[in-house]
Amino acid sequence: MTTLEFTLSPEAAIRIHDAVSCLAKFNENVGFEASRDKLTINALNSSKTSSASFTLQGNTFFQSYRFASGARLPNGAEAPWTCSILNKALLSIFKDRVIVSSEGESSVERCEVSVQERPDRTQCRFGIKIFCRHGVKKIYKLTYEPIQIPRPLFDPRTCRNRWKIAAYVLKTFSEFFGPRAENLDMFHDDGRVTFTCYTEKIVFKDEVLKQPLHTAITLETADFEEFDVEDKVHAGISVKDFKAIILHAETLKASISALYSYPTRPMQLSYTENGMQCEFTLQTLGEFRGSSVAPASNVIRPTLSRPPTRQSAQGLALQEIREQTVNSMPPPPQPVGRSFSQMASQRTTRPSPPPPKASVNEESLFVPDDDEEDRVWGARNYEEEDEGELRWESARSTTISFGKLQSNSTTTRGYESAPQSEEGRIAPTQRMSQIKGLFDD
Amino acid sequence: MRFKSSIKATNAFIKLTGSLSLLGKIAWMRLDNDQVRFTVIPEQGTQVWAVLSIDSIFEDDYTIQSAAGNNTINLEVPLGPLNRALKSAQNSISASIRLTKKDNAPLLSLTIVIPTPVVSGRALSHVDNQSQHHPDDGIPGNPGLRETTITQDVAVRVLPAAAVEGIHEPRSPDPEVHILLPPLMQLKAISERFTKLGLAPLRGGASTNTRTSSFIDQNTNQVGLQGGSGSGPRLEISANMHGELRIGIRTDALTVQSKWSGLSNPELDPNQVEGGDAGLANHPSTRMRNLEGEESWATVRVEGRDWGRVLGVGRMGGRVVACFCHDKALILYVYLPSDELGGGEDSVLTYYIQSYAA
Repeated sequence: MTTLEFTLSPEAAIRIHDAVSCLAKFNENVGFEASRDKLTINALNSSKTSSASFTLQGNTFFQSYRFASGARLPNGAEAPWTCSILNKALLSIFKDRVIVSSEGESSVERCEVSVQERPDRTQCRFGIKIFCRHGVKKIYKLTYEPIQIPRPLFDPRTCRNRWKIAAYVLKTFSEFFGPRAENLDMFHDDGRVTFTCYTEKIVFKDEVLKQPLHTAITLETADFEEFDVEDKVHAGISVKDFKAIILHAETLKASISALYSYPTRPMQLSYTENGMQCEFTLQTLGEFRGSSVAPASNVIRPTLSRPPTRQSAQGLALQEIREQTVNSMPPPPQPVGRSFSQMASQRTTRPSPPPPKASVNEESLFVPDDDEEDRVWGARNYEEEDEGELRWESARSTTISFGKLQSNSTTTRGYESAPQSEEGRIAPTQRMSQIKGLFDD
Repeated sequence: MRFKSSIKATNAFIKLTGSLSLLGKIAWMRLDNDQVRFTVIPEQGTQVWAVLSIDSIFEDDYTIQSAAGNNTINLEVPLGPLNRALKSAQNSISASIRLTKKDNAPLLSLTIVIPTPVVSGRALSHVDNQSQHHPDDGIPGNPGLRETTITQDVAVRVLPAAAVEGIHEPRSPDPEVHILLPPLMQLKAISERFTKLGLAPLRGGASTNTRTSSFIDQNTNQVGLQGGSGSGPRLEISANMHGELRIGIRTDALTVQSKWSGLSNPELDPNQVEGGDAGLANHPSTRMRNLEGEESWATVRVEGRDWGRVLGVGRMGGRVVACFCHDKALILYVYLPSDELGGGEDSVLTYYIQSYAA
C-alpha cells in the first residue's frame, strides 16, 4: 500500500497554485513524484524541448509530510510513487480566488492532501480537503493516472556558462517584447549582454508589415548578480517558456540562475525559495544568425564518454524512470465514462493532445491588462463581456451538471463564476448512483 | 533617403498610434520638412487623416533627406508594432527613431535608453550583503545610475511617390451642422452601452421561454450581426445649430436616446469659407441656424462598434468638432492640445465617417 499525506499552509497552497499555473504553460497534465522526503511536480512540453519541475521539500515546504511506499527498488530503497493529474483540475481547486478572498486575506485555513493506493481497492483517488474559515470544508477527489515520469538529462558539470539575475529585471525586459515573437537569444560580448527577441520566419513580400517586433535589450554584465559566460556564445530559447518562468520566479521575488554550455545543448534555469526548488531544463536553439565560437577546448566535459546525444537537437534527452518494481500497484480501474482522464481523452479525439492552455490569457500576461488608458479608450470587446447584463437564468432548466457536484462544499462559487466552457468543466469522478446523500446510510 | 530624430512627445505619440491602430492595422506615414502625416484607410469603416507639425512630436535634431520634393518620405507602417515599440519608451531617459535597413529590409528602428531596473525589497538586501565586494552597489535603492539600451525594430515598407499620388482626402459637401462634442469619455461609454443593447438579442438564445425565443429569433434576423464590422448595430447621431446633440439606437425591441444640450456651435471663420462673408451667409449651417423643430436636425447613421473605436481618440485629450453632412457623412476634427504635444497649433486629426442609409 502506498500512502502519501501532506498538509499545506495557506501560503503554500498559493505557491502550489502558482506552480501549477506555471506548469500549465508546458503541458496539460501535471506529473507528481513522491519520495520519502520530497514531492516533485513537473511537466514536459509536447515537443519535449522544455521541462519544468518544482521540488517541494517535505520538511520545509509542508506543514506535515508523510510518504510510505508500497514498493521497493531492487536495492531495497523505497520506490518513488508517480502519477499524473490533469492540470485544469488542480488549477480550479487551487484557484486564486478560492484561496485568497477579495479582501486579500486567505480564506483557507489548511489544506490536506492524501492518497492511499491499495491493490484491494477498486477506487483510488487523489483526495484534497480544503478547510476554509467559517467551517467550510471543500473535498475534492481526483482520479489520477500512474505514469512514468521522464527526467531531462542535464549535467551541470558540462556547463561553462552561468549567470544569475533578479527575475524582476528580466520581467521588466519581457514587457518590451513583441506579443508574437518566438525566440529569445542571449549573447555576451565584451562586457555587454544582449537579449534579442525575434521571430525566425520567411516573410513574404506582402507580409513584411505583419512581422512581429524585433527587440534587442543590452545591459552590462555588472547588472547581473553573478556572471561567468564565455565571450560570443549564443543561447537561444523559446520566449514563451522564458516568460512562463520569469513570471513565476517574479511571484517569488527570486533571482534566476542560468547554466548552459553551447547552442543545441540544454540550458537550465533554476531558483529556490521557501523549500521550493524550481528547475527548468530547456533545449537551446541552434546558431542565431552569426555563429557562436566553438566551445572552449579547456572545458572539462566528463559526459562526453557517453554516446553523443544526437537527439538533443530535437528534444531534451530524457531518462525514463524504470525502477518501478514488480510489486507496483496496478492502475486503478477506469470504467468508461467514469474516470476523469478517460472522459478527457474521449472529448479530444485528436491524436495529439492540444497544446497546453494557460489558465490565463497568454498575451494578457505581458501586454498588461492594467493599461488603464487602453482599457478606457480601446476598442470594446462586446463578445466577451459578461458583467452587468440582464439575462434569463437558464441554468435551472438544464440538467444538473456533474461538474458542480464534485465539490462537496457549501459554496460552489468558484465554479459558477469561472468563465469555463463546457469542456473546461471538471468531469465527474463518480456515478450519480454512488453519491451518498446526507441521510443515506 | 534618411530620417532620424529624437522623440519629444513620447506619450502623445503612443496615444496617437494607439488611437489609429483601432481603425486599421497599417498607416501611411508621410514625413517631410514641415509635417508628419498618418493616414489610415481601412477597407471598411472610418478613415483618419492626421497632420502633425514636426516639432509637436520630434526634437530639433529631426533630419530628413529624400530625393523627392520637400524631402518627402512615404512609408507604410504597421501601427500595432509601432505602438508597442513606443510604449517601451514610456519611462525612458531618451528615445530616438530612425529609418534604416537590415538585410536589405527597411526598418523604423527605435533606440531607447532606460534606467536599469532596480530590484526593491528583499533582493536588495542581497546586494547589501555583498556590498563589501561591490562598493558601487552599496547604496540601497540607488545601485548606480546604470542604463539599459533597448532597440525595437519595426519592419516598414517604403512607398514610391507614384504609389501615393492618387490618394486624397475625401471630399464632402458643406456640413449643415457643426458642433463641439461633449467629453468623449462620456460619449464613448453611452455609445457603447447602446451598441451593446443592439447586440443583446443575439445572446438570449439559451432561454427556455418559447415566446421569448421566437421574438429573439426575429430580432436576430433583423439586426443580422454575423457579418463584418459594417453589419453591426447602427447608432443614429444627430445635432442642430442650437447646441444640441442626440445619439440613439432603434431596434425592433427598443428605442433609446440620449440628448445633450448647451453645447457650442463654433463660429465659422469667414476667411476659411469659400466666398468669404457672402459665402458664410449662404452656408448651409447659417440656414440651419434659423430652423426650428425636427428640420433643424442633421442626422447620420454610423456602425456602433466602428464609432466606439473612433471615440478612442479621446485619449489624445483634444477638442473635437463634429461636422454633420445630413444623411451623408460625419466628419470629426480633433484639435490636439498644444500642452501635451511639444507645441504647434496646427496638429489636427480628421475622421471621415460615412453615414448609412436610413
